[in-house]
Amino acid sequence: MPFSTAHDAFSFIAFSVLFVYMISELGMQHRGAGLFILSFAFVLELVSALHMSWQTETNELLSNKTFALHASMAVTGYTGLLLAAIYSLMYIIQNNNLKKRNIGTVFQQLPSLTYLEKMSRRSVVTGIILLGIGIMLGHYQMMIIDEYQYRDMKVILTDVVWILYIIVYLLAMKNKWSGEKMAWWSLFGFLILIVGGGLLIYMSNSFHKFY
Amino acid sequence: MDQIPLGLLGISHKTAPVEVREKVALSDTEQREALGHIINTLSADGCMMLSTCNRTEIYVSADDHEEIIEKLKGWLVSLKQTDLYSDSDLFYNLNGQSAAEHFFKVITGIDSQIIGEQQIAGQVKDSYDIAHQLQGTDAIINKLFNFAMQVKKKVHNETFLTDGTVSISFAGVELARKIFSDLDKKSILVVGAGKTAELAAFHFQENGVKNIRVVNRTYQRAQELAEKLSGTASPMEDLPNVLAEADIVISATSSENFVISNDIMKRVAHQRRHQPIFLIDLAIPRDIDPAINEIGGIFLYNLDDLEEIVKQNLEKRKKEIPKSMKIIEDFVDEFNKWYSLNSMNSIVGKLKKRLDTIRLNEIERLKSKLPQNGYRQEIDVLTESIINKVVRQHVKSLKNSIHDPEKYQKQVELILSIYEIDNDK
Repeated sequence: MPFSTAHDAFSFIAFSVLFVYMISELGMQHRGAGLFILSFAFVLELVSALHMSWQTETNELLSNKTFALHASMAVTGYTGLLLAAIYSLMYIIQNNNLKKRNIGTVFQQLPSLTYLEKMSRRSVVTGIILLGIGIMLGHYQMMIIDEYQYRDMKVILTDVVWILYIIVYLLAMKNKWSGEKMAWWSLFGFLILIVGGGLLIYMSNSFHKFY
Repeated sequence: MDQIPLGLLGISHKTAPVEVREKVALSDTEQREALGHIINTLSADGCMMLSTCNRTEIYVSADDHEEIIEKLKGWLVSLKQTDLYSDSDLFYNLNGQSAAEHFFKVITGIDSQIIGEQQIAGQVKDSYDIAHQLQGTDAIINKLFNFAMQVKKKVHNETFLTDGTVSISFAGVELARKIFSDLDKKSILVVGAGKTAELAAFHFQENGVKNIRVVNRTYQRAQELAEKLSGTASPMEDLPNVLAEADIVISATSSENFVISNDIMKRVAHQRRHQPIFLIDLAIPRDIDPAINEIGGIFLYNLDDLEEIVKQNLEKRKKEIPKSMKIIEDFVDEFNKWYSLNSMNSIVGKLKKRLDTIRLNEIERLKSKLPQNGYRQEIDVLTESIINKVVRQHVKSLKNSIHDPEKYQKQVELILSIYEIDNDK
C-alpha cells in the first residue's frame, strides 16, 4: 500500500504527477511545461525524503489489493485535478502578462495560452476518469467488507467534487467556454477541494483512518 | 607557451561606416581568389574569410602570419583598387588568442550590430565551407571553427543572449507564439494593403500561418496583396464579419479614425466566446481603439508596445554579455590548451628523434668493441627502453605545467637547449 506513511504518500504523489503529465502531453508537439512539472515532482520527492520512516501495516485492509488500487487511482485522479489547477494558474499568469505587457523571465519561460488550456483540459479529463475509477473501486470495497458508510464526509466530498467536475466540464464543452473562464473554474474547483478536504481531515474521524 | 600562429585582418561596423565597408567587402569570387593567393602565393597554412554587410575579416594561420597579413594588405589594395586596406584606423589586426576570442565573439553575436543576432553564425559556417572546399583550412582553422561552433551552442543554451526578438516585425510573431501554440492552424486578417501590412503578414506567413485574408478600402489592392500572400480578399464593408473568423489581426491603414472600434470588437469577442484574438496595430495614427485590450481574450499591441518589447529584449541581451564572455574565455583557454598539446607532441617527437640519434651514434661507436653479431638486439631493446623512459618523464613534466604558460615555456626552452634541438626545423 503506497500510503502507509507520509514518505510513501509524497513519493506516490510525485509519481502520479509525472504519470498524469506524461498522459496529458502524449501527442503534443510542445513540451513547454516540463520544467514546472518536474520542479513540482522534485519538491514532493524532497518532502518524501524528509519523512523517511518505516511502519508496519497493522490494518488488514491496507494489504488488500483492490483497496490499494482504489487509493492509487483516487490519488492519481486528484493529481490530475491538481495539475489542471496548476496549468490554469499558469494560464492566468500568462494571460495577465500578455494583457499588461509584462514580458519578463516568467513570460519567456511560460508556454502559450492555447497549450496551457489544452494541457489543463487533458489533466481534468485524466483526473475525472482516474478519480471515477478510484471512487467505484472504493464503493465496491466498502460493500465487500460490509462497512458501507454513507455518512462518511470524505466519501461524500469526493463524490460531490467528482460529480461537480463532470458537470462543469460538460458545461464548458457545450458552451465553448473561453480558456480564461475554464482556468478560473479549474482553480476555484481545486481550491474548494483543498479547503474542504483540509477541514474534513481536521474535523472528522472517519473510517479513512487506519492507525 | 607558444603563441597560436593565427592572425586576423578585419574591418567592421565598429571601426568603419557602411560606405567604407561596402568598398572593401569581398564578393564570393573575390574571396575564392584571395584564398588562393593567401595559400598558394603567400604560403599560409590555412585561411578563412568572412564578408558580410557588417564586416570583412580574414583569418590566417601561419607561423609568419603577421608578415603574411602585411603582404595581404598590399595585394588587397590592388585587388579592390582602394588604399583603404592600408588605413590602420579602419582595420584591426589581432593575433593568437585575441584573434580566436574575437572569432568566438563574432559567431555568438556579441560583436554584431544587433547583439545576439544569429544570422552571423550561418554566414560564418558558409565562409568556413568555402575555405574547406578549396582546401584552404589547416588543423588550426579547423579546430578554431570547431570550437566556435561549440561556443555558439553553449552560449545559446546557457545564456539568454539570443533570446527575445529584437526586430519589431518579429516581435509580433513572437507574441503570437505566446498566445497560440500552432500558428499554422491559425488564420490571419490583414487590414490595409500597404508595405507595412504586407511585410508584417509576410513574417507571419514565413512562420507557418497559411490562412490569410486581406481587407482594404480599395478592393483591387486587397486582391493584389491577397494574391501575393496566396490568400483571399474582402471589401472593407465585410470587416465586422471577417473579424470573427480571424485569430490574428494586423492593421496598418492610413485612416485618420479607428478602423476597428470597441463596439465591433465586443461583438466579435462575444461571437467567438472570448477565444483569444491577437491584434497588432501598426498604423500611425492608430487603427484600433486601445480600449479593446480590456475585453477578455483580446490582446492588442501597437507600435509603441512592440518597440518597448524590442528595447527590453536588447537590454536583457546586453546583461548576458558577461556570462557569455566567461564561456568564450573558457573556450579560448581550451583552444590554447589544444594548441599547446599539439605543439608539445611536436617537441616530444623532435626530442625522441634527437635521443634516438644519440643512441644510434653511441651504438655505432661501441660496435668495434662488441663481439660480432653479439647482443645487438638486446642492446637495441635496452637503449630504446631507456630513451622511452626519459621521454615519458619529460612528457609528464610538460603536461603538469601546461596550465602555467610561463613554466611550460621555460621547460620547453630547457629541453630544446639541453638536447640542442632546433625547434624551427
